[in-house]
Amino acid sequence: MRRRKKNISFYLGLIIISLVIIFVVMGIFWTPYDPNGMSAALKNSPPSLAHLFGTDNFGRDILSRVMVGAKTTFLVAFFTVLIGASIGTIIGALTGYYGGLFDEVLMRLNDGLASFPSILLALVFVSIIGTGKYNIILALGVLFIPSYARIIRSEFITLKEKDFVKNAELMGANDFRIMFVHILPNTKPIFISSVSIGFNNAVLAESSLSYLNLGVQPPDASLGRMLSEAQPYLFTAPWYVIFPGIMIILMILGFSLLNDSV
Amino acid sequence: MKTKVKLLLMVFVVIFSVVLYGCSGDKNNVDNEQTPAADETPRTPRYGGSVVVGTLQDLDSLDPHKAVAAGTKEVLFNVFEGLVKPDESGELIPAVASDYTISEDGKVYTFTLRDNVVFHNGEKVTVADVIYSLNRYISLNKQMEPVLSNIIEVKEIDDKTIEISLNETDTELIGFLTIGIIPNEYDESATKPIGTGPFKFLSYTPMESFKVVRNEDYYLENTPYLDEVIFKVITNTDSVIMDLLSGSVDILAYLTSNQAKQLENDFNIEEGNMNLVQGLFLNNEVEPFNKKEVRQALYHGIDRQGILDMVADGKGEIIGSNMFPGFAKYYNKDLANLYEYNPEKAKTLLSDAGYPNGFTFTITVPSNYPYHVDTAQVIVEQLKQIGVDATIKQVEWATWLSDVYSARNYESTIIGLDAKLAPRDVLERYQSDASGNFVNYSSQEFDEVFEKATRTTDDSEKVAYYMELQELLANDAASIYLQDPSLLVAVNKELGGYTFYPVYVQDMSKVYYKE
Amino acid sequence: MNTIKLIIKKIASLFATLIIVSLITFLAFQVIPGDSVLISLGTNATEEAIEQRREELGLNENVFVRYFKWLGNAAKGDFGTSSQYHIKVSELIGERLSITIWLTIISVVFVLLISIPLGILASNRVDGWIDRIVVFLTQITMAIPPFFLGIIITLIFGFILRLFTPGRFYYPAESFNKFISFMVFPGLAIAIPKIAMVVKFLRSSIIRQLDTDYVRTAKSKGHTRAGIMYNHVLKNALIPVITFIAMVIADILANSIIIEEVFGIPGLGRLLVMSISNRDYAVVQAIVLLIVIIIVFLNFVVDILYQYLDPKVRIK
Repeated sequence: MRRRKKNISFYLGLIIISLVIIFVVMGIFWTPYDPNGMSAALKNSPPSLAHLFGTDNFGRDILSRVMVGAKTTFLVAFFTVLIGASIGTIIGALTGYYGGLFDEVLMRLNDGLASFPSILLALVFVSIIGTGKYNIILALGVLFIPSYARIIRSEFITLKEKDFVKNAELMGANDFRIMFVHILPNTKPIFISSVSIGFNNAVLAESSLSYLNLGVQPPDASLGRMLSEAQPYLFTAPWYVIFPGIMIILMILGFSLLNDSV
Repeated sequence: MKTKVKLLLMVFVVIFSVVLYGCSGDKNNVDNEQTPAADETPRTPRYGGSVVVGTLQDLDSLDPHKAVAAGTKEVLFNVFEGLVKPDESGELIPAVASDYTISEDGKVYTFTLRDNVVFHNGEKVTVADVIYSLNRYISLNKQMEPVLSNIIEVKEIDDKTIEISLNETDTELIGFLTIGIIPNEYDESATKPIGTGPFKFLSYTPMESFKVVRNEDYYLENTPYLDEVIFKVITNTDSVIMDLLSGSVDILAYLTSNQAKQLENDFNIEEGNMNLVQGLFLNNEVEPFNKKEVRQALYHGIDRQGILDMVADGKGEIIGSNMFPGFAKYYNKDLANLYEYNPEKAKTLLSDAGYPNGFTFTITVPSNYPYHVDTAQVIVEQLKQIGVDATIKQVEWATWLSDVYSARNYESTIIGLDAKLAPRDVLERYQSDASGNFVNYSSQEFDEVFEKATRTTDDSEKVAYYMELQELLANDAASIYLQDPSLLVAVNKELGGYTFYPVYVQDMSKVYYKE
Repeated sequence: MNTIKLIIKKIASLFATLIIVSLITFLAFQVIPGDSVLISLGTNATEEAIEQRREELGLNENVFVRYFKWLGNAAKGDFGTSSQYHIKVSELIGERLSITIWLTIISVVFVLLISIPLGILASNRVDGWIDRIVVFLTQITMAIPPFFLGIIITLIFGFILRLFTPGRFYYPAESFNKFISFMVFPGLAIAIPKIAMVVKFLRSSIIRQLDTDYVRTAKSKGHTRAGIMYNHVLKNALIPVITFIAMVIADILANSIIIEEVFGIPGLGRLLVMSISNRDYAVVQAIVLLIVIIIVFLNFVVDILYQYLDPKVRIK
C-alpha cells in the first residue's frame, strides 16, 4: 500500500517536473512570438487560438513570456537553494557539532542576518553588485543561509548524542568523517523537506523581490515579475495573472511531490 | 495520471474565474443601484458633509515654509493662503491681499491687505504677520530658490500696506508670493499649523491621514461647502481600486488609464492636464549623446504617439519642448511635431554621426513611477527598429536623486518635471551653470536669451523670449520631450465642483455634495 | 547550567547581537545611495541647499563619530527624530508596534490551532485519505505567493462574502472589536502558507519518530497506537517543530511587510519599507533593533523549552 502511494506521487511529480522542464527548454530555443514584441492593437486581449494565454498590457504574448519567465525563475530558485543549503549545512554542522565560542559567534551573526530586513539587505547587495538578471541569486542565496544553518544545527545537537556517533568516536573516526559521513546522512528527512520548502520560498522570494523592482529588470520576464506586473490588471485581464500563477504552482508542486517520495 | 493533472488545472481555472468574475458581477450590481442618481441634470450644491480624498504621498512637513513635496503643497493649499493665490487658469488672484501693484521698473511690489481676513485661531491678519511670514520663508528657502536673494526688504508702509523692494528688475516674483501667511512669531507650524485658508487643521497622523474642518470665518461668503475633509495617505497604489470601490475614498487623483477604466461605472472620471514635462532626458555630456545628430536621431526613432497609445490609451498630449500645454500663455505649440516619427531618417542621422550600427545605452528609471517604467519599456522596443539597444535599470527614488539628479552619473533617464507658476522656473535649469541642469545642456545662445527674458518688463517681449527658449531646446534636441499625460481623477458621483488647476493643488473649497 | 546563569549569558549575547546589527544597519546606510536631505528637497535641490541641510543634520561628520553618537544616545533610550515626520522615533513606532504584534499573534493562533491537529490527523494514518488531502492542500497553499494570497482573500472575504471592508482599517482605540475582526483576514493570509509549512514539518517529524526502534519495541510490547503516539512520539516529534515555529514567528514578523501593504495596515512593516525608501535612518535603526530583540527573545524561549522537553540537552 505504502509503496504504491510513493510511486504515484513520485510519477506525478516526475511528470509535472518533466512538463515544466520541457516547457522551459523549449522556451530557450523557440517561442510562438517575440516575448518582448509589443502591439497596441492587441493590448489585454483574452486567450484565443493565436494567443493561447492571451496578451498583456503591452499586447505581448503571455505564453511566450511564461516560457522565458519560467526559465529565469527556475534558474534563480535552483541556484539560490544550492548556495543557501550548501553553505547553511556546513555552518550548521560545524556549529552544532562543536558548540562553544565558535557556535556562539556564528549564531549571533546568524541572528543578526535573520533579523535584518531583507529589503535593506537586498538594497545593499544591489548597490554593491548592481542590478542584473542573476545578481539576485547571490542576494537570495545569502538570505537563505541562516534558516538552513539553524535547522541543521539543531539536528546535529540532537544526533551527536546518539550511540552511533559515540561508537564512531570510540573507533577513532575523525571529526570531519563523523560530521559528514555519520551524522549528515541522518539529517536527510529534515534536510530534504527543508530543501523543498526552500525551493518554494526561493520562487516566492523572487516574486517579492520583483515586487520591490530589485530583481529581473523589464522588459525581461520572470514569473514573479509577471505576477506583480499583472496585479493592476487583476479585474480587467485575469488571464495575465492566472497563467504565470499556475506555472509557479506547478513548478513548486512538482518538486514537493518528488521530494516527498524520495 | 495525466487526467489528474488536467483535472487539477481545471479546478484552478474554475476557482480563479469564479473569484475574479464573481467580483466584477458584484460591481455591476452596485452600478445598477447608483445609475438613477447619476443623471445629467445639474443639481444644486448642498452645504455640509465629509469627504475622503486619497493622496499617494505622505506629507513631508505641515509647515508651509518647509514643505517641499508637491503632494504636500497640494494638500496644504486648503489650509494656507498667500498674498496671492492661483486660480483655475493659472492667473494669480489676490487672496490675503486685496490688490497689488508692480512699479514700472519692476523693482517695487506694493500690497494692500484684505480687511476681513482672520487666522484659524481667531486673530486678525496684520502687516506684522505678513512681514514675519515672508521673511521666515525667505531665510529658510533662499538657498533653494536663488530668486529670493533678489529681495532687499519687506517693509510696512501703513497698517494695511506692505512694500517689497528688489535689487534688480523681476516681474515674475509675484509667482513666489503664494507663500502661506502664518501668525507672527508662531513656531508650532510643524505640529499645529495655523493659516487663513478655507479649511482649518484638525489632526495629522503620519502615514495615515491629514484632517481639516470648515473655516467658518473664511473671507469669502459661502465657502467652503464641506464640513470636513480627510486626506487619506494611500501609499500602496495596488489597493487603490479596492479603497475606491469599497467606498472608503471619495476622490482620488493620478489614476492610470487602466484604473480609470475599472472605475468608470462607479465614479465620475474627470480628465485634466497633469502639467508635467515627461521626457527621455539625455545626459548631454555622455557619449554618444554629446552629438546633436544622435539626440535628433532618437527623436525620429521614437514614436511618441505610439507611447501615449500604449501606456495611457491615448490620453495625454504630445509635447516638443520643456513647457506644458496648460501654461497656455507661454506654451510654444508649434514644436510638438518638429520631429516626426521616421525610423529611416533616424538611421541616416545615426550613420552620419558615425553610428551606422547603432549603439547601446541604459535608461535609469525611478521604480516608484510605474508610468515612467512602462514608457521605458515601449521606448526600448521602438529603438530596436533603428538598431539602438537600450536596457532599463530601475532604481529607488532616493538613488535616482543622488545618482542621476545630483551626481549626474547616468546616460539617460525618464522622469516628469513638474509645473511651476513662473516660466522662468520651468526653464532656468537649462542654463549652462544652473544647479538643476542635470542633463548638462550647454548653449551660450540659450543663456543669453534667458537673461533677456528675465530682465524685460514688457510682457509680450517676455512671452516671445520664452517661446524662443523652447525652440532652442527643441532644435538642439536637448532631450527627448515626450508628453504631458492626462490627469485622471475619480470623483464620487454624489460630489460636484472638482476643479483642475495648472499647478498641483487639490482645491476642496469648491467641492460639494449635490442636493 | 542553572537558569539564572543562562539568562545572564543570553542577555550578554543579546547585546552583542544588537551592536553587530546596529553596525550593519549603519554601514548599510553608508553603502546605499541617497540620503534624507535629497529625499526632502527632491528636484528642487540646489547644491547650496543640500550642503546647508546636511550641515544642520550633522550628516557631514565623520562616519564613526556619527555611529558612536547614535549609540550613546540609544544607550540612554533616545533613538532620535524621524527625518521624514519630524517626531520622536519612539512615538512613531509605539502604536505601529502593537498593531504588528496583534497581527502576529492572530496569525500564530491560526497556525497553532490548525496545523498541530491537522499534522497529527494526517500522520495518524500515513497515506490514508485524510493524509492525502492534507498533503495535497499543504503543497498547493505553499505554492501561492503571499501578496497574491492576500489579494485572493480580499476578493473572497471582502468583495464576495462582504465579511469586511477592504482598506477600512480600524485602530484598536477606535473600536477593538472592529480592529480584531478586520485583522483576522490579513492574519489568515499570513497564516495559511505557514500552516502548510508546519503541518508538513510536523508530519515528517512524527513519521520519523514512528520509524524508530523504541516505537517498534513499544508496539511489540502491545501498547496501543494512541498511547504510543501521545506518550512517546509526539513529545519527541514536537522538539524540532518548536524550533521551526519560532522561525515561523520570525518569518511572520518579516513577512508582515507585504501583507500590511496589501491590506493597508499601518504597522511596523509598512513603516520600515517607507523609512528605508525615505532614507529615514533613525527609524530604520530602531525598527531593526526591535525586531532583533524580539527574535533573540523567541530563540531564548525555544532554548528553555528545548531543555524542558529533551532531557538529553539538559544533561549536557
